[in-house]
Amino acid sequence: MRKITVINQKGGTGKTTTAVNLGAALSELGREILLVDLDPQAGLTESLGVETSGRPTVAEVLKREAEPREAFRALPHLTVLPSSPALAETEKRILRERPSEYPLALKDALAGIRGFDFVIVDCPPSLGALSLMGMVYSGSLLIPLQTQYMALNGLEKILGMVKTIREAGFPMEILGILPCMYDVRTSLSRQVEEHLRETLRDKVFRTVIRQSISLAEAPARSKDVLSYQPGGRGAEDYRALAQEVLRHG
Amino acid sequence: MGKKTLIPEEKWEGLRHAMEEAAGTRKMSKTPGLPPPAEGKAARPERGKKRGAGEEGKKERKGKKEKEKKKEKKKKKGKKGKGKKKKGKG
Repeated sequence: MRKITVINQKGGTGKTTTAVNLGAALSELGREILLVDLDPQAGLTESLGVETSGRPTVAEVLKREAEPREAFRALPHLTVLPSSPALAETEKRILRERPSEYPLALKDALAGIRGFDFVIVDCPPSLGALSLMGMVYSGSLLIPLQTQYMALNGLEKILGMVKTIREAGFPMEILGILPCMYDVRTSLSRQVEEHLRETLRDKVFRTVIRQSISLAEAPARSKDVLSYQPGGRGAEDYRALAQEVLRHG
Repeated sequence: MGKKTLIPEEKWEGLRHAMEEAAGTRKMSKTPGLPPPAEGKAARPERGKKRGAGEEGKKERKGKKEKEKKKEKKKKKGKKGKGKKKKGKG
């Protein structure tokens, strides 16, 4: 079972879009996928139209009040472990009750799950406790990055955190940096992409996620982009990313 | 005409270092077998300072000055009929 954590402390970089659509593209290739929503804003949960009322979510799983299987929601091609705003309170509680072990909370809670080829974790837009849990759970990070100047500052911070976690004894690899919201018309996009490859070389995915209206529209229909517009640019880019992730092993 | 660079080179250099540290691949010494430079000490003299500007450099310079003084004294002793010795500066 391969685990991937999608992380970037900046909001609106394409984390949730990447988690959902990479999952969908891998599923199209015949893989069993579990998507874990680790954001109290529950963007992934909502974008796939998953109802959470009256049923356990990742918050209860982390508190060990529910088994992961009880909280899973099976969609036609994907399985989702949904989130809810209650997760914010759970985060505080875990920090209070397990101050020295909290980074392992998700790893412990999901230790028994079987039957998936990939588990993809969508982190909140912060480098707080929940993100740390997500990072430690998988030890493999996919970092979506807007091809803009300000995004580079954020990337340096994430890399600093990766170093700290690794030095604390947790295995951690950077699966890749994914250039997102790429606008082929702007020289800034082109320069950022070009320099990223020159500077970080094989740590940058060959795939680039181009700006596409279908990626923004799909969540409004509670769909992934491969179901919403199978022949569109967004679907094409995420299929390419899925192939690359599979080649990575 | 050269290509207009929108993002400064230092930004990319910073990112390269951050990635090397995050991946644990940062090389401390380029020459195999050589120990990494000691932390806190610059491997090269700081900008604007010449080599030997530290304590050792001072000693070296003092030694040179003394040698030069001795040479001058010898020259003066060798010359005759020059009258009183001039007092040295300081």
